[in-house]
Amino acid sequence: MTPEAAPSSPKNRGAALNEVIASICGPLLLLLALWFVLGAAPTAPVPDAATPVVRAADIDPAPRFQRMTDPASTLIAGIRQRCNDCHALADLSRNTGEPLVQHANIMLNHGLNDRCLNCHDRADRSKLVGLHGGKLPYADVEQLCAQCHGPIYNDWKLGTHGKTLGYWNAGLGQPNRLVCTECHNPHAPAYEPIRPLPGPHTLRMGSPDPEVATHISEQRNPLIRWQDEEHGTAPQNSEQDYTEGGAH
Amino acid sequence: MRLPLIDEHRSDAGCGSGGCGCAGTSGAQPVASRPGMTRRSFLRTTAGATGGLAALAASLSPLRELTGDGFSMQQFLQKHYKEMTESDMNKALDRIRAQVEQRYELRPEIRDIKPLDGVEFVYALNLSRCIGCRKCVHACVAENNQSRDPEMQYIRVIEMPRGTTDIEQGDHHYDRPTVPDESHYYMPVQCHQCANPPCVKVCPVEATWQEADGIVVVDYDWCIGCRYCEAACPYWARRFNFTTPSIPRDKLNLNMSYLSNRPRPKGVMEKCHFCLHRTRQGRMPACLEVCPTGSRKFGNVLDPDSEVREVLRTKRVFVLKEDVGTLPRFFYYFDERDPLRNISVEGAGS
Repeated sequence: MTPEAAPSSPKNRGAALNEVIASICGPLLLLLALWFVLGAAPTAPVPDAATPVVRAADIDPAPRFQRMTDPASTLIAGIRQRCNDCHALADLSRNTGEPLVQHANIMLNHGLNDRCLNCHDRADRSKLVGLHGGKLPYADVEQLCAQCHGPIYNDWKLGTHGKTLGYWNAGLGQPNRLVCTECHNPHAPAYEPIRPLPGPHTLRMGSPDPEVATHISEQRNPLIRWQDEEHGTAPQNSEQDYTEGGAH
Repeated sequence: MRLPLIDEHRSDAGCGSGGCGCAGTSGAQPVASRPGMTRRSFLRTTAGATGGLAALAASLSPLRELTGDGFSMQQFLQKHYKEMTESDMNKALDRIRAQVEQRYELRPEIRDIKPLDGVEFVYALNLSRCIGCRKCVHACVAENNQSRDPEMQYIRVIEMPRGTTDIEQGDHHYDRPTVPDESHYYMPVQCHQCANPPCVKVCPVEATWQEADGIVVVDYDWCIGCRYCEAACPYWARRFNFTTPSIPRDKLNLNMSYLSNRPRPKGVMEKCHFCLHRTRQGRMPACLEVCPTGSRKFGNVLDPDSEVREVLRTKRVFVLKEDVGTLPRFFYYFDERDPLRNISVEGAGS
């Protein structure tokens, strides 16, 4: 009466097949487990080179300018010459503000201070000259600047103006306090406007202002990339412009 | 004793009455109602089993990534940073070194640098000098091994209209041909290393905490990626790794420390830590060194001769969102005279 008692019954065949299936599924599950343990895990690829948006030169922490050393020298026609090599020969300075014949690369744009000999000594060109005629070496250039820029000089002495490279703690390493001419071009001390490096890679709403937006901003805007790459061109909406949004 | 009797009784009563519908022998009954294994049912069972296995494998396949570079059993069993002994930490550093070597084929210089005694770091930023060039942003990315694609930036430079400090009017996506713009000023914002940090309070697993020198750090091995801290921070200073960070081999900064710029896995938070692998050894942070204008000042506020102490003593200083009570260690200040454009405050509003 019982199915076990009848070897050729269909139910028994079913049990045998179940055993077969179990014997297939068991190893399959084991293989699956092995796949997890031993299988080569997918890893995010390491890119070879960065997107060349920011060059290493853009984020170089070196000072903007090299300060002059004593004795002062400069490049004339590609050759390094000491100042007095030429200036000792004759008084070569007109001191009128006319365009220079030599040193044509120097564009003097220092406000009211528009004469070479306000800062350079007439007799000894390897020195600077103070307002009252005292000679100053190039190593003490901040003393020269301080004659007109007193409050800034005071700030610089206290450390609230200017830049310190190296170490914040003199006990652990030498701080490198930059002098005036390492950040400012003494002939044109104001900073020129520069191109900003790319901004955040986040969603921005509204359409970019065509006057201020460059192609970089569009490349970096995920919304525009999403629309361009996968979903046709970006819709021209007339929402408030993002750069002037809320301003004034 | 009773159960077989009942069964017999039922079977007898069931088939004896003839009303049960099973006209044939009792041995044939399973064939009619449960036909065992036919060709169709075999195919159905096989297809079902195969499909089930495939679905199981597909649903579990994300777990395979755990065996990749982001996970090891040692890391899984690692103790909390504050409970680790020196040998525990050395083991963890060896593991991280091996993981970096395996992934980048470069040997990093990785240490666990402790805070210095008698040091509390403070940052000061001169808004009169900042020109918004974003050099600090990208020097930070390079120094701290942040993901390049998608690029993660700790510092956010906000372009603000002159005459207001309302950040709602600011814009951090500005992309002008040149900066600075005449009618705006620029306010870089990064982690303020608050003395009363809301991000630390909300962390459910204590994966982020404030160190003795004031730096709020994240243990990337302990973070569960819930992003509560990101929501709690009023300065938008915390970032989440939505994907595995992608750093080109030649851009990897090999000067690493456990709590700062070692490569992070996917799914953890990170943020500015004042370059603690540099600053705890006396050096300046990367954002300060690259700043072309000298707007950034960094130092030990407990040292009476430090630059930041002088800024706090002599300049007009404010903190961002003072009203939320976070007590930031990041101060903004103005110069008496605008060095960039010589515009008076009255002229800016018109």
